Amino acid sequence: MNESDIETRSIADALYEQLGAIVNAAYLYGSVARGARNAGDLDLLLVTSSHDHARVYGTIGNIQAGKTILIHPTIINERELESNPLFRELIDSSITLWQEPTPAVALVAYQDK
Amino acid sequence: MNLIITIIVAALAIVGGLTLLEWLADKARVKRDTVNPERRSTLTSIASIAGGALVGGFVWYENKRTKKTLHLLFELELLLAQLEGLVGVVLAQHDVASMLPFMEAVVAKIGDYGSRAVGLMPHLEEELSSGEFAQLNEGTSMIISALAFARENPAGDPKGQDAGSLIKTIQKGVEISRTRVRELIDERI
Repeated sequence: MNESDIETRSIADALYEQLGAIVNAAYLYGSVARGARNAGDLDLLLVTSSHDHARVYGTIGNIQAGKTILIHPTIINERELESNPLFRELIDSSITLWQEPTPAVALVAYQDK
Repeated sequence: MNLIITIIVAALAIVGGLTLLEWLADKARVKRDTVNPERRSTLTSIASIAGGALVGGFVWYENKRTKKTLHLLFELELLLAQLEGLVGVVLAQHDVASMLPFMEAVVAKIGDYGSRAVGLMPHLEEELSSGEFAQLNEGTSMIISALAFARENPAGDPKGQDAGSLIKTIQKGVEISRTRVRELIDERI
């Protein structure tokens, strides 16, 4: 595991710890999910029923501090996920960080990968 | 293939309609004209095929157009969600410089300031009604013009509009556009 992987893993842990309660599901997509080394940004798809997106961005801003990779979150709600096939396509090619109703199991699955 | 099926379905519907009309005419004892049954049958078939081709072609075209419009709207919704994420992080971190290139890449896919040939918006202008497009364009033009201004007038510009207020304009534009694009999607699904 290289430094980039360690950083990605620590971001995933922090995200779950701080946002697991309000974000129903989190997916890692894009170049990092495809296994690219030294990617410039970490593309996240967050599914939440909360309208308080500012809180999510604030938390991500705090997690971002001191990290070299840029966290790029995309926040959607359940309705958008269900009806827009492009979001589902992103999920099909993503790594699940956590997903209700068994977030802990999904997070372990990412950590084992 | 779908076009052929739609035409056949429309033609059969017309045959059914004409048969029903004949049956109703018989029932009402309306006096028949002098056209012989064979000729009547040929005329019915021709009318059904021609009507089926017209109605079926129209239905198929409208269906295809709706699918194309929906796909463009889905793409725009995805781009707006991605842009909202970038803007949200910029506002949380107060760091425009690091995210600006990522924002430019996303906005370039939506449209370009002063150009009607770049991005999704020109395609949506062709597909949506003028009223729908105007409402959608209200938010996207805020995004596109604010980003163009940010690019052409870096921080500390004497014009006085700082990066923070431009980012907030983009955020407002994203909010308006996301709401409108979702309404347009919901109207079509």
